[in-house]
Amino acid sequence: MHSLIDLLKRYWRTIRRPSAYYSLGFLTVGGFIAGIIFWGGFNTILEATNTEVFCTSCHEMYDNVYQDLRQTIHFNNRSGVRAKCPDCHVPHNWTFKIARKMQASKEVWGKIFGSISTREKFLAKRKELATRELARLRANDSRECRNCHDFGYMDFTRQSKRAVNAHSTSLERGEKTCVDCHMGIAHRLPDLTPEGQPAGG
Amino acid sequence: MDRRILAPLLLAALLSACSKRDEPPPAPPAPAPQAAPAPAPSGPEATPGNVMLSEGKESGALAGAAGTTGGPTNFGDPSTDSEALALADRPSGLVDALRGTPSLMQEPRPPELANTENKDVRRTRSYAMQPPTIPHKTDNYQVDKYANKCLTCHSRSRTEESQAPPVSITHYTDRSGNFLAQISPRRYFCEQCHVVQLEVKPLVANTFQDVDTLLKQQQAKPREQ
Repeated sequence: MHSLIDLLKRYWRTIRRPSAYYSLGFLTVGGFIAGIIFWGGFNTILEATNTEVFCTSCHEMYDNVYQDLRQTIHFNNRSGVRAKCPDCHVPHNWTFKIARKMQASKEVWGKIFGSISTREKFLAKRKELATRELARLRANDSRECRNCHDFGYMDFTRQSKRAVNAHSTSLERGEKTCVDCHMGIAHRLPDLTPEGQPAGG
Repeated sequence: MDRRILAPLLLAALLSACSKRDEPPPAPPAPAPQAAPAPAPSGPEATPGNVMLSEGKESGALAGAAGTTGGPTNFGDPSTDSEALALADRPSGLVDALRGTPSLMQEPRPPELANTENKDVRRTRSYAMQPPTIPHKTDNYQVDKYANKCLTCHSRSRTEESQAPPVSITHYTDRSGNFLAQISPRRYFCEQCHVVQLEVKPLVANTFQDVDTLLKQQQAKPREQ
């Protein structure tokens, strides 16, 4: 313990002392370049983990949720614009993105210990996972939906009657958010009804 | 004789018998079944509809019996028309709604896919007990043991919010007539009875008349006498 404090003290003294060998220019420019390399590297790796290829590189994602997505309009549609995993599951804004990425370290833990390593385990855990993700989207007013589906640019005259009905009332007033009605549009839903209650209510 | 040799021979004999039988009676000079005919460019006078109409007139009663929607199903491949029609005129009057009328050796072109009608306007039921048809898209609606997308609007408890017609009370009874708190499992899979509609030409002719029409006809008759 004593030696550790000594060690820290020695380092602290070194850091505080002005540089005796390197010029100010070298340290400034070197620091700048090192900054670019480290920050750039960090961001590159961050973005590499923010791709569909990365997400579906493990069988848990590829065999379960990715297969769900492939059936939906967010994967396959007339215009070819599609949503990939991080479009919905990782915030686009940097601050929120980093926060979500830190939470995602729990998913690495899950992968290592195989919390959903089989289809059966996944189905058993699906309600918990879906509930958590729906709660996240409800709490942030479906922010990830709105990255593409901007309410301000919706043309009600191009929507069906019942869509206009819902969008011009509850959604506009903020009483409801996208996922309240449009849940289960990208993945199959688990049974979300309270314990012991049949699905047909 | 070795069975492996016999089988193809039998098949060939069967096919040739079929193609002979498929050859049309005198009327149009139809060629023997061609192997994969290329869709020939058709002028305005040779559109499938026109051909069908003129052929229908010639063969009279039989073509009429095939249906009121203008004769046999035709998938619009002009090069197969003459033979297709000849086949439909066979006395059996059978029309294969899935394949159309081309012979076994021909590959009919399926009709183009149509979009589901999405007008949100309730349609008249053809008879009192008809399950109402769905007036909106139901693409990718999940109806399984985990969730029922239809019931997120049409269930009893969601009706006020959604303004969708609630599920009929008959769906809450089991087969013994006991009323249940939830949709009866035997009524859970909505799209077994309730279906979306597409604006396409019906594949099979239908001469159904609803009871009101029949009553009107009956009422009209005595007055004429």
